[in-house]
Amino acid sequence: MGEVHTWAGLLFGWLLYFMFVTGTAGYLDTEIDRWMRPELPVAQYPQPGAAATAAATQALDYLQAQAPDARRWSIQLPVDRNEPHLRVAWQPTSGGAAQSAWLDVHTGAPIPVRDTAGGQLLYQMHWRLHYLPPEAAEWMVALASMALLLALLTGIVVHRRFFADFFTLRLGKGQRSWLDAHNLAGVASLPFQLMISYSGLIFVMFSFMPLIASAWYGPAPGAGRAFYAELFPPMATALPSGQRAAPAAIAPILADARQRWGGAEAAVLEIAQPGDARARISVIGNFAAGAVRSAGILVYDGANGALLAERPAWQSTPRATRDLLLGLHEGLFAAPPLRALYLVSGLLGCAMIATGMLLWTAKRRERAQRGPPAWPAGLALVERLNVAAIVGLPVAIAAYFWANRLLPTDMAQRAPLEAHLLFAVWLALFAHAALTPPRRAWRQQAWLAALAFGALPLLNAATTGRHLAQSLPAGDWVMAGFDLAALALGLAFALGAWWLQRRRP
Amino acid sequence: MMLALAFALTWLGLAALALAMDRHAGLLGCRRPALRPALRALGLTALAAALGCTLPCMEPAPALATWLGMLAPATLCTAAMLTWLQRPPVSGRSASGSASRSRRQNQSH
Amino acid sequence: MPAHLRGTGAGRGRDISARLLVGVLGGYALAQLLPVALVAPWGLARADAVLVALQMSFAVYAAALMAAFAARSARRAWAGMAAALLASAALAWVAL
Repeated sequence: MGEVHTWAGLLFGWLLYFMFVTGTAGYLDTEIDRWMRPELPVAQYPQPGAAATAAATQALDYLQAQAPDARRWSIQLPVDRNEPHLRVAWQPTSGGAAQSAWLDVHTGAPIPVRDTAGGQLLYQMHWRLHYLPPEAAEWMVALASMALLLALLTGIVVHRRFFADFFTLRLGKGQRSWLDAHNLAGVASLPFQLMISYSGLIFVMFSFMPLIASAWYGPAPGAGRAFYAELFPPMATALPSGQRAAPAAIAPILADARQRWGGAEAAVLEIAQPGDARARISVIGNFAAGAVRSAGILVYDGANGALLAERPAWQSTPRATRDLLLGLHEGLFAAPPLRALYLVSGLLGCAMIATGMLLWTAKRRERAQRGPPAWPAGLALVERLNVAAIVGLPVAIAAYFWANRLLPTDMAQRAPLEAHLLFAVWLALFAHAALTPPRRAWRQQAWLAALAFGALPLLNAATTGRHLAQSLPAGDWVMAGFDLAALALGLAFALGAWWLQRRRP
Repeated sequence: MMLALAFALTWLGLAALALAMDRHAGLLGCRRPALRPALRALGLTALAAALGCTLPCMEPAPALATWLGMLAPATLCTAAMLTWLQRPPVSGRSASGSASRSRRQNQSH
Repeated sequence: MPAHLRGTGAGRGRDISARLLVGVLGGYALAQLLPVALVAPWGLARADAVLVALQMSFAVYAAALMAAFAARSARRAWAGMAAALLASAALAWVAL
């Protein structure tokens, strides 16, 4: 059983660490988004009632002027911390990527914003990884998640003195200390880790276990399609008729939706084939309103405003269970205190995995002092690469933030380049780690991390006007919070680097 | 604030449960095994009270999630506290490595 | 270290490989058969039944993998998995 734990951890440790770091960063995606788009004003949300209608009207006016022939319009209303801005997107008829714009919530004027993938990219890397085809990434992430669940369960089973060792942390004892740290990180956040691993699997369950649908729907691939069609039935969809028609007024539609939902506000509006006689306006509620990740959807006729289809938030217990697990995983519903706890638990997950990998190398290294290891080159390589895998990744993410501020705002292909720089820096750090003795590599990369994060507020001040001296007095807590968090991270890395410096053999 | 009280109770509860354990008993200079059931009861009661403190603040599901989430930092604080209290004295009785020695030197300042 | 995982070199390697096969492949099959067998008798709507079975499947997979390594010998692991697979298949066949 212990070997299952070790092998599951070894094979997938680096990938799981990447998923935990990007997952934790992704939990703060909206805040990171805002810091990476300093042109955006302080968000004002929610905008309920008449303000919502006014914002929607202005968004529609903008879309009508900007993309009257688009296949699809999408309007995100400013509803909560997760979606604090008024944002529009449209799918051009000529095909190609969707375009988007941020609008001022009061005037409806577009805000010129630098092209960046923002915090959303870090969030998406959590399951899409990067540079990989989607199916390959999904399989790797699914296998890693299964390995995580196994590692957690086998870890509990082999942790012989689970209760006796609950609070134990013996420092300065080499491999023993790493074991204590690994156990403590895991045990302290165990409910979270079990929840996050199981609920993570729920995201990929359709593709991971395809034969289950076949039991009820017949052989694949028809089974999958039929199952999806029953799970997410199309709602009054229609093909474009080719005839133009004046669009229905949005105010009565929003009022009707509000009334059907007992006062709850709409979060997203989606207009299919706008301006067509068979246009469809979908009004979607806020999926992050509660722990159960579900909301009502109402579809109206785009020409006369009549209600055509309705999907309530609660449909059945099995669906609600799935929505609850997904909602718990994403944690979007959480108020600030619970949000902070999610963050701490995510960081503990990163620590649990990192200490696990370090424990493995420490154990092998100590054993190597008594007799030659089975594969000395392998051990040396893992010891060295661990540095870049564990400390190098945060440095690479910091480099992503540096790129966001340093690349010229009018540059073409700016957003993909920021991502390329993240991975280029990470690759360079792997090379550094491979060529440097481990202890020195740990020290150097830790100091680099301290500098990369600690200097971010200075970089912010040098390149934009939204630095701490401006954001703190203005009460712009998102910008100030990011800068302060970067300082705190820099300090934490500096403390680590200093501690490593002191115990130089 | 109720949540701060909940965290304090969680920390207190876990500390009490820790002191009821063989390994950490006697930290406060008191080694009476008879106290252990009482400490355990105190600890569990404090944890339950902490959950009770979260319930008035929010819906039941987020309240339970908050309480479960609080266990993590509270466990860490308890472990850190115990490690600090159990550190070897400056005269260097223990055989631990240089890292712990330098930690002790820092603590004595 | 449990008795069945002690032992040397090739024998141990064969033992672990056998258990891996049983656990990873057999477990994957069981993770899709057993939930179906358990859920089908409830008479839920099709989409709901599939959802329940899907959400259960990972617990079954993890348990099956762990059982393959907790069994007293690789042979027992194989036998246990085969029995579970047959029973689930039969139950599922009857219930659907």
